[in-house]
Amino acid sequence: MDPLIIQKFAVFQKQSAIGSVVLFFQSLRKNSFNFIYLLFPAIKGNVKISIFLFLGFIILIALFAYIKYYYFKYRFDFEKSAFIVHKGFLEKTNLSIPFEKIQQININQNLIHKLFNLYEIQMDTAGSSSTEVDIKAVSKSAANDFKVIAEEIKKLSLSATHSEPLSKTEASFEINLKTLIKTGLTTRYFETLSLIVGGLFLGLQLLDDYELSFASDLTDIAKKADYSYGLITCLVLGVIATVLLTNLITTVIKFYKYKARRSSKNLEIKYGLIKTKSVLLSPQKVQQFKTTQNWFQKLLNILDIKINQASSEVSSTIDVRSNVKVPGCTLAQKQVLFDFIYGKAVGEEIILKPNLRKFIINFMFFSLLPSTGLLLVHLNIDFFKGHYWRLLVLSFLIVTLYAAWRFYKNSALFISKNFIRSQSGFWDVTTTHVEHYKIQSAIISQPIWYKNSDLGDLLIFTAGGQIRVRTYNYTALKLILNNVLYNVETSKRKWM
Amino acid sequence: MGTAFENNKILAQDLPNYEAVATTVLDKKHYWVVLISTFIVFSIISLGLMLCFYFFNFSKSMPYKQAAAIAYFSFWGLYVVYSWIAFKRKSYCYRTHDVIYNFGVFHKTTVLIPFNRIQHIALHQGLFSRKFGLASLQFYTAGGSTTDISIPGMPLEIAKSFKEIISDKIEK
Repeated sequence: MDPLIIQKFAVFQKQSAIGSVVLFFQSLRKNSFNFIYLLFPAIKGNVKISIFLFLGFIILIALFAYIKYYYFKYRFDFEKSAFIVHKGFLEKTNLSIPFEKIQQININQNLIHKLFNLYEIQMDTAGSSSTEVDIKAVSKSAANDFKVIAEEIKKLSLSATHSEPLSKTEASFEINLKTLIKTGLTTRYFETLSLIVGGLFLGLQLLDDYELSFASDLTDIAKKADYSYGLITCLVLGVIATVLLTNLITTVIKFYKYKARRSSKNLEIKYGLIKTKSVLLSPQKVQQFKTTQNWFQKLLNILDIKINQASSEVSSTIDVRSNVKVPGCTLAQKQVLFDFIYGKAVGEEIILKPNLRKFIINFMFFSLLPSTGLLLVHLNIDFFKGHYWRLLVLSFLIVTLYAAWRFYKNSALFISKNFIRSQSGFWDVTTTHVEHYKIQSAIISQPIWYKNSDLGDLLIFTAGGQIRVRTYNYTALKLILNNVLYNVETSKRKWM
Repeated sequence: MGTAFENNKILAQDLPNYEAVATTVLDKKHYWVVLISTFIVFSIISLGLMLCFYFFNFSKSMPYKQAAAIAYFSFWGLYVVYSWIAFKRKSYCYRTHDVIYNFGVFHKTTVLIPFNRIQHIALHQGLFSRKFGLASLQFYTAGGSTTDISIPGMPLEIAKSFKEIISDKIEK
């Protein structure tokens, strides 16, 4: 690299002086909505006050912009290979990012920048969704220097990526139309139902807003209708049919011709009827491996898989492409995929179950409490006096009680030498696999009222989501944490 | 504990225990910073309420004036007591390979971050902490913002040296 650049950036740099103007315009734009409040006195007849407030506000924004500009300094520490930022007036922040952790340096120019021939520099590191460093305005020459340094840093991180041994399994599979139909008919009941109900209410609201008589006609019909058991059965069957049909159609359209092909170290996955989507699955980037199966799917011997990868793409927006979904694959296909990603089996496991209190608490808050509320409504409000309401409350209680019990029974934590696996859900049972060394950090906590019963919670973070287990044996959780930490801290493998 | 936990093949029992280490409590001066910030928030809210009472004549229409005043001030009194307990519960420890941070009044919580998973570190110094010569260290991992903990109330020199030491330990 040019020694001049090294020399230049070794000392603290400020943004371009005109940069304060850019900062001013940007915060003006950000605050543009707040100017509406300043119009209030003018509406009340006090135009003078409005103008004063307006001027005061603009001066304040200009002052803040200048302070922000004045106290923002950055430099490259080439000796320690880190990028350093000092910023802040009241609260001072002193940030250093190692070169190896800088995933991307973006050089942008928007309209205001173009006016002054300036550039914006943004730096991203892995994982978090926000931009770590945002240098709002630098001159063209500085932007060019950043380009040179970015190239250098890229070389550095490329040499740092360490190649994993190739797994030898031949991983290629397809998912045929028949399986897609099976998946469509057996999954996502609750999501679709809530979507349909939400859409229905939204539609009715819209019709109501435009004062179409159609909507009030509908409500009239709904009010006048004779709610015989036959009609209710018809309605329920209609809803079920709509949900199933919607699921079937969306699943087939979304995942039509699902194909996974091995290409060197990665798996290329393509699917879609109208728009073909393609995703790349690379084992090194996988953070979580989730399988979901409900009772129907269990009967049909299929399951859904979702794989969360850490994205090295631009992280300013949530990168949906980094997640891989496999609808309705067989157990054998799951095994192929698992072997391809991890190259090893889960192995012998210790199983941990939550305490019965988990069930009792869930039952009290999500079943007993709402049921009592519904019963009180029945006893106190005339409109809900009908016997059907009592029936509704009873069936609600039974269904939620059963759900809380299933939820408790399905919850479990599995530990093996290399994996940690958590299972949960009352209808769709999801199992999340995480390899120990992919863990980023952990939070363990104990509510003080659980001290005597030795219960607590554990939260484990990866770059692709978290695992949370609650109301487990605290001593066991602590032992697990000690082991997991040891494995993370002694591991030499790259987590992505 | 069940017999499953004596299974040494999967879980080793003799590893370093994060609970066994002696942790450092926050610098006493940090509680002054907490008190001053609380007092400023209290003043702003009280001033706002006073202005409301003055301009809108709330006092005429409001029942139970004395009770409301007592409730208002005892809330702040309780808050000060709560913040004292919260302050006492906060402690940290830097081990060879990770940082430990304890906090929580009703949920006793421990956050553990291995050094080789840290992305970068920031040193913050607020207006009042600066007057007391204190700083806070924030650790960023790829695990998301929930675990990007910030450990407050460290003497500036110590915070600086920890930042240097840990920066060197970040996985390259």
